[in-house]
Amino acid sequence: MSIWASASEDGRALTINIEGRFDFSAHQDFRESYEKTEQDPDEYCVDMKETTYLDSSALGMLLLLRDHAGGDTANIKIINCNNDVKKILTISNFEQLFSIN
Amino acid sequence: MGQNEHIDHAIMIELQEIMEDDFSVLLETYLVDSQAKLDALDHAFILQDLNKIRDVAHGFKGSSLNMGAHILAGFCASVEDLARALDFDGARKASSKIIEEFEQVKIIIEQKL
Amino acid sequence: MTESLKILVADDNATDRLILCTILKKQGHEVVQATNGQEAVDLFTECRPHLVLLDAIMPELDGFEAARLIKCLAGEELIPIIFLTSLTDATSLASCLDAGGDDFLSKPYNNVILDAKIHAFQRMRQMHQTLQQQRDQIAQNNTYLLEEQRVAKAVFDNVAHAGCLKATNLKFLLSPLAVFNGDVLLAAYKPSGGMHILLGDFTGHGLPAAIGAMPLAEIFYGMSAKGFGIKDILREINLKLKAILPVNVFCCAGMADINFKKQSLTVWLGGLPDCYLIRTNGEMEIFESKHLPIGVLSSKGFDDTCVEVQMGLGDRFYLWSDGIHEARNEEAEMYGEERLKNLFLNNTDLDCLFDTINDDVTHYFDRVGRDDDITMLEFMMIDSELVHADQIELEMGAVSGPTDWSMTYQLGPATLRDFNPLPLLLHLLMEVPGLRPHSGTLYTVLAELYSNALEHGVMGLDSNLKADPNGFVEYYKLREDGLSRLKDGWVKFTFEHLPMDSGGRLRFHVEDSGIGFLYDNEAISSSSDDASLHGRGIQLLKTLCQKIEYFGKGNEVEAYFDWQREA
Repeated sequence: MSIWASASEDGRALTINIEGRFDFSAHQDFRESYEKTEQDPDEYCVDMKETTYLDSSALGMLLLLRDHAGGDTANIKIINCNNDVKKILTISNFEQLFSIN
Repeated sequence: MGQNEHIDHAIMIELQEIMEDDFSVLLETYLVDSQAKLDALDHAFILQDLNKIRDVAHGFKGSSLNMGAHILAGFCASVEDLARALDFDGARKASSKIIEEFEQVKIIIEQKL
Repeated sequence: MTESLKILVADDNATDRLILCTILKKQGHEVVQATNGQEAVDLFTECRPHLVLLDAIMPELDGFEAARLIKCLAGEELIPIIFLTSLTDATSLASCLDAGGDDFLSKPYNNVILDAKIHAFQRMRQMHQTLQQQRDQIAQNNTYLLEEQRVAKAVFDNVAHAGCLKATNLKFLLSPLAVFNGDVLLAAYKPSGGMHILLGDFTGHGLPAAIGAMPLAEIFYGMSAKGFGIKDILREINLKLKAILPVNVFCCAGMADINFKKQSLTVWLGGLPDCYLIRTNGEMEIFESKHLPIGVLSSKGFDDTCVEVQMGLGDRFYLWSDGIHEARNEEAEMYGEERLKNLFLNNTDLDCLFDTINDDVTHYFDRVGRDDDITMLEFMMIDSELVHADQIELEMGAVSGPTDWSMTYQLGPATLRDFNPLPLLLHLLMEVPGLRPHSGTLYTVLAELYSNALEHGVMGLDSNLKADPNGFVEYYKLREDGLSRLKDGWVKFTFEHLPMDSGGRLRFHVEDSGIGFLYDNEAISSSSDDASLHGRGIQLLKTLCQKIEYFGKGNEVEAYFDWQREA
């Protein structure tokens, strides 16, 4: 499991990449990835291209990110989910909170 | 250095530093102890007890090493090895070297007393 | 500087012993001397030294055997043993270690090396002591923790897995991953004779997961017993969990409301995997989670939309947490949804289906640890006559609330201006257990009657204004202005509740100080769309109430709401 974040040049968008299993062990790294930005981005993108699995504590972490990004006004995309990951997001109806594609 | 002397001078100095006032007690103890070991060795040869020969030679070797009597310790080691190899005659021959060498060691130590 | 130790020296050579003891004493240690192995063992027992220096070859008992005995006597305590030796062959040195020796010291003795070795073993001894103390502390803490958890679990089990789970038409499986299970399984009879069931899966495991279960269970049982409906209960649980849980903790849940008389099942699913309904003819229906888990959204965003289906006698409904899908076998493959679904498709005897699933899942991860809690519930629809007798008692108990009463509540202008009487009035009505499942309907009825009396009656606003969008805005502006300047007028509520054979009747009578309007009771009771009714929400009231009738000059209205016991 490894997590890294990269900001766009103007700092207004932040992309967070998650590699491997996204579970409780990722807690610290995931938080740091968005809390350590120099300016608060307007939009966030969670790239799950390399994410193999996520559990309910990962869903909780996504809610923390959403809270950090402004709760109901948060602009967060989750992209490149594999089928397993997408299924977990769908069962939990997280598409009601995040834009998932 | 010291390996070819009957008594290693450097070790003597070191022991003197360690023992301080009790240095002469140590020298006397060694002489008495060694004489006892020679008697025990003699007795063991009479009884042809190879185990006993081996153990006494081993102990004598240890105390001689500690006193810096390297040549003596070397003869003790030979007897110990021969006894372990069950060579009774070889051990007996080698043991005469122990007696000769101890006489030399004894002279030096008595001079220090 | 080394702390002073008690050291046992065992050597049959007087010379060697003298040298060694002198060195040790000069280094500040206390020395105990032995001249053979047996003496060494005896002195060890007597003096309990911290360190043992042992010659290998000694009379009576040799060093090897003495070392073995001393290590035995030392037990858990670390007593380093250093062999004093002029042995040089590898085999002999190895047998020193085999016997429990920790190191060697060669002759001739060197006091610098000896001092360094004693230092090293002193450090090792201290580390060993620290480790043992910490180990004992951990063991003790663990014992306390387990005891605390055992007690807490007993409380938790009483709260979280209580109710009527033992009802004959329910089967369930609860396998806790930790001492506490992150899963909650609740079932309760409703005062009206139906049943509520709830299966919840909190984020995480153990204590943090169990904490949220307590208020959830309390609300579920408390509100079910008071007769509240599934939507009210879900909303209340969501409100509570949203308020108390951290943002990243929530509860995936499924709740069902069963009406045995109507043979209906009403289901709400949020964040749970698909749930199945299987009919006696083998037909399967799948329910998908349409909602976010409980505790994620605020009350405003929470969606309480449920799905209602008819069930036949013997039809079964299954709820489970995702633990069942995610159970892994030795090859770390997940059990999966397909495998579960196939069990349903291939099943020939509904009576055995639950056990078949249980066996198959249990067998699957037989020898490996589980990833998640596995919780599963089977509900079977039965005839209302068969619903257990102890539940009838509960029903009788709950119905005995206020059943024959009336009250009048008149609001003057100041009150009309600043106070919303609806929550108070609804609260009063909720004292009647039989009305509780209808709280939503009753609130709507009250709201319509009150706004008609206030806006069209007291304030005389024209409902026709609301016909077009501009008028709508205008209407609410007039309402706001009028209300803030209100000096005269009143609204009078009269409620009367009467017990009936199989339920009760609530009569609403609402009168206002307005001039009334031209009404046609016949038109109201028929289905025709009369212009006079426009904008007064009367069509809506008609669908919610048994009877609606105007009196006098049109400033008095009466409505009946009848309720019946379900089973």
